[in-house]
Amino acid sequence: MKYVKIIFLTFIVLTFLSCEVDDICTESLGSPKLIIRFYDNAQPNITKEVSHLYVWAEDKDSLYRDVATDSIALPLNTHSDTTTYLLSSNAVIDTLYLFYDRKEVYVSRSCGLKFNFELTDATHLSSYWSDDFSTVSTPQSIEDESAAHIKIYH
Amino acid sequence: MFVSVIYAQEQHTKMDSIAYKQAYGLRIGVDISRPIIQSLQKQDLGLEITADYRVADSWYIAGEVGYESEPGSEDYMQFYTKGSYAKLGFNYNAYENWQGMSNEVYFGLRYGFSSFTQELTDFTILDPDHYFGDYTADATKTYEGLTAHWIGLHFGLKVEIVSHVYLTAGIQFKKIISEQKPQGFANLYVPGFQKVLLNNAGVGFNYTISYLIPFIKK
Repeated sequence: MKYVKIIFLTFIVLTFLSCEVDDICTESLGSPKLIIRFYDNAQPNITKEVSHLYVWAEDKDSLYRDVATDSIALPLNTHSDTTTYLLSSNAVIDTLYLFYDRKEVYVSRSCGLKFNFELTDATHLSSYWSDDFSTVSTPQSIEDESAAHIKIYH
Repeated sequence: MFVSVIYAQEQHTKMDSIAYKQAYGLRIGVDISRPIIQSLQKQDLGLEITADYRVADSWYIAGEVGYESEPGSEDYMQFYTKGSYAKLGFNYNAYENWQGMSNEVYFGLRYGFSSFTQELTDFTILDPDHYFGDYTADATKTYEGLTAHWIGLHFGLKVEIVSHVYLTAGIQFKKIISEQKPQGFANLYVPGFQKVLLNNAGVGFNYTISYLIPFIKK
């Protein structure tokens, strides 16, 4: 009987001491970004760096400041179905309008959910420094960041 | 104290004179941890009824039925699980009782089944760059017609506190073997199985009080 009582008490203590085996969110958090690559106007298959590039969303701070690069990754606004980005190169500003659908995707218990996007339309105001512009396909699904979703020729 | 001494003496004389008869019968119990938590949190969390029937000296057919209504919370989502469940299997009593005593250290195996509904009440989509800010949606999404089947290993103790009344403390190790998953979500909690951990595993504790209805004495 004593032996039974001891084990009984151990069980009760174990209940309060038991710690949870839980998963920790290790996957890259958040939704995929829009990848833009810049190509050479004259040789459309070759990427070309943009110099003195500044990028920011309307009413937001700059994401890129005075960089020279041939590719940028832009987060899409998860609060809305549209995001407007301003791209400035050598002090000439181009406006990029993005329209998309947000699709909830379950990731895991610890990470929760994220959005994947379906880019339904992308237009730019005028060709100040970027001559031509194309989405890889329309609608363009944005589920990962491994390849360009939009190509800009300049 | 005085009473118990007399009681012990009485039992002693009984044992001396004749072979002690062991009660066989149906033991019905109820989970006691949930009513306590329920009264503290002032919400309905569920109910579990347990039953076992002694078929041989150390062997019992055992089962549990119940329902659960459980709110769940994770870092980036809140959800709610509702449903009922049943578990059926057996217990083996590994404890050698002294004559006249009826305690148990048991090992059991169960097959469990649950039918339930999950609700995702709100979730937050993180903005790791802190550029547009985290997005929180509170649109309730309901996932109905979910099921899960699992196998459970139960260990525990049963102590006869007064004649025919038993207190049980047990631990359960479980693994889901098949499930109907919600589209675009996951079975984070299953009634009867409780929290679904990594690799579809689960651990649970139970405390029950039960009463033995003796049918026969052997």
